[in-house]
Amino acid sequence: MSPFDVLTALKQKGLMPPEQADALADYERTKPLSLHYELRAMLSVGILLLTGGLGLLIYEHYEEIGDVAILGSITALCVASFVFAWRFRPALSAAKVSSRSVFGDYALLLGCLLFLSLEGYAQYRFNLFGTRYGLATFLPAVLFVALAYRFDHQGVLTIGLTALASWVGVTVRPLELRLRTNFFDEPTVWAAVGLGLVLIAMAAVGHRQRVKAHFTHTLLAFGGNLLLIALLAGVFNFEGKRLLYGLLLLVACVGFDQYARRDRSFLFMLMGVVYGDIGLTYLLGDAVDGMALPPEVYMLYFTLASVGAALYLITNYRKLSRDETL
Amino acid sequence: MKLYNETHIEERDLLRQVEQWQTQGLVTAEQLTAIRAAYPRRFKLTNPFIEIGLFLFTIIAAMSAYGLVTVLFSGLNNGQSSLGVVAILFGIGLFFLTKTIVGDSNLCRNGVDNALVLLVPLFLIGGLILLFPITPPFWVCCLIALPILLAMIWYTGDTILTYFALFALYGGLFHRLLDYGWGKPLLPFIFMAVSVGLYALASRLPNSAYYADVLSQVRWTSLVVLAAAGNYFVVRELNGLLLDHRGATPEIPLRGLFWATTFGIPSVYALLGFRRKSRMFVILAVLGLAAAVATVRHYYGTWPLSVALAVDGTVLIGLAVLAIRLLRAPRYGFSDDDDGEAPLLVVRHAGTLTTLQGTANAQQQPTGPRFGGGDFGGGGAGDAY
Repeated sequence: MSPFDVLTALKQKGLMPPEQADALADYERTKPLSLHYELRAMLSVGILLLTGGLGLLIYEHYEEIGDVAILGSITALCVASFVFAWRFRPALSAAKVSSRSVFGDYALLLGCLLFLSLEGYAQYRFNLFGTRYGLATFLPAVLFVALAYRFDHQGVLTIGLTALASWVGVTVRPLELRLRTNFFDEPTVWAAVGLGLVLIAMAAVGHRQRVKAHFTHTLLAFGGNLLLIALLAGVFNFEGKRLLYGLLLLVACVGFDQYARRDRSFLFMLMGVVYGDIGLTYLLGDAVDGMALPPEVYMLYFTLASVGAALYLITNYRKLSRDETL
Repeated sequence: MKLYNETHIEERDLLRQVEQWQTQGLVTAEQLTAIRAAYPRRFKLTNPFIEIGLFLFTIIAAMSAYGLVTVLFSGLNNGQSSLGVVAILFGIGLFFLTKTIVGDSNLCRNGVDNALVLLVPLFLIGGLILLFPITPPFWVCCLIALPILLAMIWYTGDTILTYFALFALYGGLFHRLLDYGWGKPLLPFIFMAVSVGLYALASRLPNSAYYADVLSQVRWTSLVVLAAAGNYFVVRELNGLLLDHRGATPEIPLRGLFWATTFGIPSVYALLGFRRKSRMFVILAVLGLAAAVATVRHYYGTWPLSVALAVDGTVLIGLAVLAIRLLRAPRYGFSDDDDGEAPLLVVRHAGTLTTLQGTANAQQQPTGPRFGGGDFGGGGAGDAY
């Protein structure tokens, strides 16, 4: 339905005076097309290509170009980006604030990504951190999270969290639709669980103290998924301790479900239900393994469990949204 | 009688438009209240996350229910055709279930109905194909699928089914043309002609609210295929692939013509985008021109990948910065105001994806020769530098 059809309908029903309708039609005919999101997407893709290209360049050609030229120019670009971002920095505040330049946020992003490349190169060439590989990821991660809070930048927060996750052994690569983990190793699982809990605690404290409360959702979604995936991996990978991990998973899922009810955030309800369903199904399958049950039983279970999960979501949604929408 | 009530969908769209005007301050809050009272909400409102969950669980439930039915019936008769009959009957059953659920609880794209609408034609098509004693060639499958998909699209106005139908149309055509000696050289031209035809059809059909999404999707897809079918890289590499050629692909006939369309089609999009102020044409023009530049690079480029990426990135950043500065005040009918109308979710979330992928790239140490995040062409066309 075009805006003009809408106006005709409203005029016919007497819901809008004809003069206003004509003025609105005029506005719709002449209003400029906003390329706001397209231009920002272009900027982001440009930053991705540039940092990706430079990241490749230094490893491919460091012998020809020389360390000084490489480190010098990338450092200069990196510093320039940070300086630009700092010059137009937002006011120091616990509330939501934004850079005073349109490009401030992007400069910060560019600076952070260049910093990562630079640091990786320094480790590769000069063994800056020696064999303390953890430190090489942990330091920038902490730096980025701090920068994210100072500059109020969700993107840099995401970089920091991603770096923290890779510090405990989980890499996220959305363009390759890939999540790489090392969850066959029990300490990694526990590290991920620990990081997940820390992030959830950060989210809770920030939410309560109103310190960058708009980060709560990102922190919770990131920390929560990390925690739940790690626990699920525990259920899958460690035969002797399946029930222990299953129990922890159950506690986490119930916790998310409770939080979702209190806050009406259905992402967390969905997370609780999906991870809980997968964990429960796996545990049940493991329990009846070797009993040679007929396939009907499995099919019946899947049908009923899915219908049950769907009904659970519907009824809870109805219950929670009733007092809100009506 | 269609699955959803057409008037209700129109009214829903009308309300959305008025709500947008209200946020822009063009309609008063009192007016919005009066209009809301005149057009009460008819459909169930849900939350996107709930919808994702419902969609997933409905698909799993229906698939396992089908599994249960086939296991129960497998004792009666073994064989592919009996499986097909079960699938068709199951599909018909699902159809009536969909009708009942949607009618009883006023659903409109709430996850459950999305999943059911998708599954009905899939079971019917799968069942019909299973009825054949041997699996028929791909184009026959497409020929079977198309009418069922079209009927379901007419009935529901569903967008995912539209993707399937477009895939069946182009895929079946591609597969069938390869069977003829004359088909191969004419392939790009037939694809271009079909795309132009589809676009014209989608633009001429009355723009009803029920099919607005379907028609917009047909327009997008047909324009993407048109640009891809005219892209030198796509034509040459596909030709090489069909000849089963190893190494560098051979030169194609009508080389000049395809180079002309490689740049010409996106240029026409750019012109149309500028003239009509059409978001679709602007986006496709940028992607198409990027693909055209990538095509030139692919055959004549001497820069290594890293340099090419860095230069392209710099150029893109430069262009974006220039455009944003230029559009501080609206100019030539374009603006840089955040009016809340992001066309595609991907465009809105490009920043997040960038940061995640960029972090992963930057952290990767050169343990092997492979680096991530290299391919970037877009437009469904050539994307390897």
